[in-house]
Amino acid sequence: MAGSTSSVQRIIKTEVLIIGGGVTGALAAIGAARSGCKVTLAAKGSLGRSGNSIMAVATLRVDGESAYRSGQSKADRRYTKDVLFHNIVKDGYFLSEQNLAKRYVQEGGKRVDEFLGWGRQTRQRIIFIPPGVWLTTGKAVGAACRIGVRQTPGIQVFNDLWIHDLLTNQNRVVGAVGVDVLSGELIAIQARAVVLATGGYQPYSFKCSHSDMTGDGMAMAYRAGASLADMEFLLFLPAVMLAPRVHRGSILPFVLYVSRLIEPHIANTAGENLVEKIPPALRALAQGTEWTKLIYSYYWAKEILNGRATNRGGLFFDFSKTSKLKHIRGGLKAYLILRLMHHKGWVYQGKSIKDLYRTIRNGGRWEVGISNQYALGGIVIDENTATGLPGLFAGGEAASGIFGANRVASALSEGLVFGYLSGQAAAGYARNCEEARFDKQQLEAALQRLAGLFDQDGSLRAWEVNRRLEKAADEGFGLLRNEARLCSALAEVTRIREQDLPRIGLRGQGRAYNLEWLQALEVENRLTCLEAGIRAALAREESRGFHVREDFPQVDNAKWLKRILCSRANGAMVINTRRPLIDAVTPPHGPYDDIMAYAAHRSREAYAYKY
Amino acid sequence: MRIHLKIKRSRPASSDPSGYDTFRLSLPDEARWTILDVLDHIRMEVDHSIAYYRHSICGRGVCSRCLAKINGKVERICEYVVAGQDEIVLEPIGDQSVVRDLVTRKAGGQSPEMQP
Repeated sequence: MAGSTSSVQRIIKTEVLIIGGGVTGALAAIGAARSGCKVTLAAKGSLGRSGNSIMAVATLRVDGESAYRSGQSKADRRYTKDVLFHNIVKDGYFLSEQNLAKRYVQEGGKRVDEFLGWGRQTRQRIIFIPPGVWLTTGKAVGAACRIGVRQTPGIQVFNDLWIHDLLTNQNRVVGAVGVDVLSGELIAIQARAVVLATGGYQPYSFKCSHSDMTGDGMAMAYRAGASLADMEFLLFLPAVMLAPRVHRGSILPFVLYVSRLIEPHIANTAGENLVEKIPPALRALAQGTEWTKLIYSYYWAKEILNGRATNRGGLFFDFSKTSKLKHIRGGLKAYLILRLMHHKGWVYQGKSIKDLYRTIRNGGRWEVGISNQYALGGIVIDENTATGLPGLFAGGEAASGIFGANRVASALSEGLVFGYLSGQAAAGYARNCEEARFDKQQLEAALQRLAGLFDQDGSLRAWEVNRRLEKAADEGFGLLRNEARLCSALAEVTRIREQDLPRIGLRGQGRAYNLEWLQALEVENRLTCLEAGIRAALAREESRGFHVREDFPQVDNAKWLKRILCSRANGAMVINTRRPLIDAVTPPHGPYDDIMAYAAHRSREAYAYKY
Repeated sequence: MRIHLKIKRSRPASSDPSGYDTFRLSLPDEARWTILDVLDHIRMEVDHSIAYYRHSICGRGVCSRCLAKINGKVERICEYVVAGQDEIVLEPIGDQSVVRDLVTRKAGGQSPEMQP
């Protein structure tokens, strides 16, 4: 259907709407259905085949106590819930809402247990690694989710149903509007309660995550009146493949490196070994804990900033300097693991990696960079996953508040725990509230926003606007920041919003599978999230975890033990702060010279139970 | 290397009455582009209307949403590396209803296989 038709073509009525088709969405649907509600799940792609959930290596972390009770005799029972809780809060630089971290720790064991039950039905490999980590594949994670949903009555699933805006009526969420991607039909869903399980936002050009990571849920929540927080904290992964093109974005180098299956030098363009620039105490901290990500990314980013990286921001995994025998042994071990996990041998995530192994054997090198893998920030939630907007709940990567400024625990477990809690909370609300009714005017306006792009008289392509957005993020919003580059990025973001968005034109007027149309709508969400991230980074005049200000390198605990919130007021983005709930673990009073000085402090504390 | 791509189109008014459009591209010899890379290039530089499953993808062989028939065999377009073959023919998979070009209701939509 062409032209600017903006009337709704299908209305779906349900009790609880879950937006998102990954681990969080699946568990939310299950939680809500078990509470007796009629549940509809809308996935932008496909349930269990979308989002970052399937891109993971994948690990599910529980405390050793819970793992032991699930029958893992090798689990370390000294790795208690309390130890895990302390690690999350302290390694998160004390920005966690401690009640949320507590929930994560308390509920993790039982949720992982149940999930493993579904996982075993997929016939994929799931291996336990002491003290408390389960290792499997992203594919298995997705398959397990589908099994769990299939075995729970009362859940209706719509794939390729992309939701763009929430609907509210008298300050309560009553549903959402979106597009059936295949047909192009405009869809309205009426629901008593809505859960946002839409994952994170990734604003950069170098991607190791799923194409879904455009911050749709975060932007929707923001537009509807909820708050975002911690948007300045984006988690980076070091050693992601930059070249050749067919392997670009692969996290295989990182995985092999942290498992010690390969031991290359990490060489900068001057031939120096990055690892020698990392103080021994921090190297020890990185080995076997999740601190690897922050420590290595930090020193890596310094090399890039000081002009000792390639123009792609790459360093080299240099295999010429270390023992061939060691690498052949490592390569064989890697092969066996790949066979065990994926049954395919020299293939990782669909690509043949024989050529990569040959490079190792020949003493060559891989070009690797740092890539944003996960968003620590997102929608503000309380310990019941409520957003503050009646009827709206959120969980998983789309929400925030568990991990503070640095995540050291498993994001998949976050999805399991807060997915389930959000489903239950949404069902509780749905059972006690009045029937949902659309505000007709608002519905028409929302549909007009979707369809109106077809009338927009512009010549700019959506993918070009995306590129400009990525360039602004790459140049001004990396891991290492300063006021000048952040202001420059913000100016460009503002320019894109004011000048480029209204000039986007759609070449195809047909609605069926109109990718350009969807990307034009998506880019607005990405832009909102990026703007929130930059504004928060400008406001936070200190450094903490995955936010590093060259002009304010100190970790300033006296002034900055607070979260930065972004919300909409009179059409503009406003910043507020609030102290996280600190009721169990007391933060330090004094400052640290920089984020690595704090890391060094952590390495000296009792850190007996490493991952 | 020169690559020669024939893509089955579903629009009745496609330029070839047989329903296939042909694209000839020149890529650097050492390029290791996948079919996905090639289609992205065609969509952005040559023919904006070409449709293939792209809106929610992993891009690396995990999700299996990008299935298409490549020279008669069902493959993931994100995995298949082009290597200067004589001709690459792309067609939608199976006999499921075609939405547009290479997008079908089998790889997307509410088909029974996708319903939990």
